[in-house]
Amino acid sequence: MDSKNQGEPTGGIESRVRGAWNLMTRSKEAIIGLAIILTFLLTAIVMEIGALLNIQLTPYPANPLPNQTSAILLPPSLVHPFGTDNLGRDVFSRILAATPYDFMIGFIVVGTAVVIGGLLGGMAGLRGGLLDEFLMRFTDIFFALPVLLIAIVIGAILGGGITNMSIALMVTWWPPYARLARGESLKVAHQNYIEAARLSGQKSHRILVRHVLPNISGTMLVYATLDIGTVILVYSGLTFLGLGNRPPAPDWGQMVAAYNGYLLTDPWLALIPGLVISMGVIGFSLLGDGVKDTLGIR
Amino acid sequence: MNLLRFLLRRLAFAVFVLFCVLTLTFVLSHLIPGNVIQAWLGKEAGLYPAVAKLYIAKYHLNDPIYVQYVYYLSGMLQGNLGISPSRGFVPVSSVIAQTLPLTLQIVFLAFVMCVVLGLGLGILAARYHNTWVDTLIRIFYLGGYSSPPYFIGIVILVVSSLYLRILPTGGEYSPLLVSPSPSITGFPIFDALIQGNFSFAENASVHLILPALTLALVTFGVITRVARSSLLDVMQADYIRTARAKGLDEGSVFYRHGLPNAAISLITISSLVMTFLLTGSVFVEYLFSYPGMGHYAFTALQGSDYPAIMATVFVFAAIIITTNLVADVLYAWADPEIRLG
Amino acid sequence: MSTVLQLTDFSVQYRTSRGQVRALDSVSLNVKEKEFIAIVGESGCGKTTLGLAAIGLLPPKTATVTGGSISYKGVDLAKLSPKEMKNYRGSEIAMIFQEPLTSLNPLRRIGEQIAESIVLRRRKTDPTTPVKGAPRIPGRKWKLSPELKKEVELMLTLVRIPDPDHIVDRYPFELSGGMRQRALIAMSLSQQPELLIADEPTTALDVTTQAQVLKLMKEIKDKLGTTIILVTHDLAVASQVADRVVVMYAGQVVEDAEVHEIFSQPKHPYTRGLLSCIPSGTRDGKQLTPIAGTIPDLTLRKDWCQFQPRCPYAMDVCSKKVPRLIEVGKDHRTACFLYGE
Repeated sequence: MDSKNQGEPTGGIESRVRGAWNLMTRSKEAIIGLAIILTFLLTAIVMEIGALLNIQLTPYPANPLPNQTSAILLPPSLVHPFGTDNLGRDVFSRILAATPYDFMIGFIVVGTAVVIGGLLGGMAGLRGGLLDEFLMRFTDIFFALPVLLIAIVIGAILGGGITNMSIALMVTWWPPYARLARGESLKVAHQNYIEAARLSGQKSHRILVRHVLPNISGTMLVYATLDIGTVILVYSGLTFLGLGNRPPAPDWGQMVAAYNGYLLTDPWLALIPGLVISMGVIGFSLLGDGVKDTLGIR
Repeated sequence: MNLLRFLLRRLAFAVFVLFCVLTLTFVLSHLIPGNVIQAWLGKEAGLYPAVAKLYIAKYHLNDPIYVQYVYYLSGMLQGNLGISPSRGFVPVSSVIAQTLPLTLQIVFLAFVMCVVLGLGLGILAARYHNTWVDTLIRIFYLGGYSSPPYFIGIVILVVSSLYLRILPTGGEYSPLLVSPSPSITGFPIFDALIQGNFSFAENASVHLILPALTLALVTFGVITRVARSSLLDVMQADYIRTARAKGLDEGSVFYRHGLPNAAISLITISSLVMTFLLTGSVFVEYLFSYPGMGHYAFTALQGSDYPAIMATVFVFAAIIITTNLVADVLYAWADPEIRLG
Repeated sequence: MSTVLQLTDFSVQYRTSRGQVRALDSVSLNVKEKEFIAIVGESGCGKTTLGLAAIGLLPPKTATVTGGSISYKGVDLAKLSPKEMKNYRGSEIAMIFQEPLTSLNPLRRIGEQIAESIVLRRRKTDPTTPVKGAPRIPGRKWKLSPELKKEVELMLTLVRIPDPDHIVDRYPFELSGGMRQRALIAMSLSQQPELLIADEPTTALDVTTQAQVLKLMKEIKDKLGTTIILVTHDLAVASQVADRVVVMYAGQVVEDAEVHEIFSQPKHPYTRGLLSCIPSGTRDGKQLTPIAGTIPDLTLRKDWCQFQPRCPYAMDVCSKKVPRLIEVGKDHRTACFLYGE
């Protein structure tokens, strides 16, 4: 009868957010990671706003017309912090401009995966039965496959471009979350208050949303944080292969591929976008590792 | 016996998954926008009406879809993987037969490097955990697996070409040498050794080093992380306390009771490692101009060579599934509870 | 009879997140040869720390000896280097622990683990014997030589494990809790130690098995002349097998007497409280009286009697001075102001 021990969903959004913030700022690495992520995030938002309002917020145009270019193949300097490429475009601006795509894709894909996986897995854990069986077998197959390759194939077939690649990735990304959600949901489903809700005639999907999901969201989010970095990494690989935005729109990975020919003469061209990608991913790796340490999960 | 049943079940599952992959590639090939003929023969299909006709007849491309499926499956299982527009319409299977061994050479070397590096650093990190050694190692592998494989590849290429000019940075072997023929095992290096052609064997092996190193640097982090955490867990266990209470020296405690128990958890990630290595090979082979299957996949993607794309994905998937199966067998052998349970 | 283990004003502290915890506070006691002594007390009283100190397995990073000495046959164990201590561990002083399942290496057969101890014993007399333990690769079987196997079976028979030649090849998970604990006893005895410390060996077992294991330990003491220190929280267990009982509270010895004395003439209020907690076998309808209060915070240094807050006989002096151990009868010591200063 003591509802306190039964794991009722705790307080409102505010305490949750505060809890999350504490979690993320307890370890040093998490803080560094968070700082990196926030820098990228800020850049992405600013760039996106600029793109939507059609204002150029980068020092130089990212997709300049021939008369707007500077001298070609300039090494990094104060004027052009990352130098210029073979067409005289300012590399720094191009990297900034690509941020809304290459960085935010992580959030989009993982966000969708969390939602799809959370709903499916949560329901499977709650209801059990045929849905559960089917989900388990289905995800078993997924785990045995190199899903990345499948994503590449799907993306290749659908054609390139960020929307198509997002779809390809979303389709292949949700199974681990479904498994995770199912596992957590199973733990929660046997609590007394769930039984009580069921007995009082509440429909399953309502139980799911009001009771199960808030309780499993914690674990899912921890996992998701590390995963976002992985999506960024994967997407950069896809753009390298030429499946991302069509040139001349900039994409970090695609820039590395395009500038590959200049490795021996102007190595910074290929190195800098690669470094940027690595930094983005490292931000999430640090945050994820830091949070895991705080939670005591090794 | 329980073990046999367990293994048979895993085998059956593996076969089933392969089957699913085949079906998936079939479905995908029919989702390719545009004419199916175009998909299989490439964009210039219209220029070769005779070839197109032959193709349609051979693969029954005008028949209802379930008929096509049956022919597709039987064809695939017989090793008929279609023809490759990006390579002048030669059969895909012959290209794969040629390129796969080369990729396997690199992957094998990378795997060894990965295990040595990953396990060694994992042990160090566990031994000196929470000291600067641990932190340094962490930074190292974090950087490794956070970076795209092509970035590390580029760094190595640049360093190797411009500064440390000791190792060859491209190709399978020096243009001055000749590949050993006839090929017996399919693996050029082994063929050379068998034929006594040591200069080729040495040269080709040296060409493996940089690409393999790139792959290893990207992947070793997974091993290090798992090794470190499972070692830390194991060394807290009660049976380690018992081993010490017996009067065993720390070294023996670690190497006879600690490490073997921790190593088991490494078996489970071996298929993950293989996945990383294979997908990485697509980028690395391209960067180092190494004519393996990864490179083939890369050019196939660029040239929209769908038969090649499907086939390479299928072969990669088959390798990963096999690795999974082997890992399951090894784990069952090592863990007595599964073996006898 | 000579003294095997002697503690004189021995004190140990642990560093915890809450500060320094005084686990052992000026503990003095003697253990004579071939004695079966039980150290009794509730959780946190320091009895386990005492055992760990005797075998030199105090956690090195957090535990410090802050005073006094703990001598085995005249040698102060606390002053030995780790290498020197290792020579005593297992071969002179052995220890078994509470959880039999986790105390055995799950990947090694029982026979192999006992054989490892036997080999260690051989090394004592012949230091050139190579330390052969179980193979380092999990899954490989250590083929014991026939004479080694015979010795193992002998040890198993000694602890009354049925079917020893069968058990030698079994894994820990295949044995019951009682058998595992016996196997652990066999393992510790195979080095023929002078002193065996058993830390709550029967707590994880059911009552019947508990009785069997205790009976076995008594037999061992009689047959082999091993000195045994049994650490337990259960006074009833102590009564079944011990010659002598030492009662500890909050890191200090509060009473030390032969077993019948403790039960017939308990002096210290804490001992009396413990006795009245034991459910008696007779249905005399008496209520069990638990001891009021909780154990004190061990981080604070107290210059008064630790038990005073819970003591029904507390006097003025009890909150002003620390009681010392005094003789109150034949070979019967207690630390309580009720009997003098």
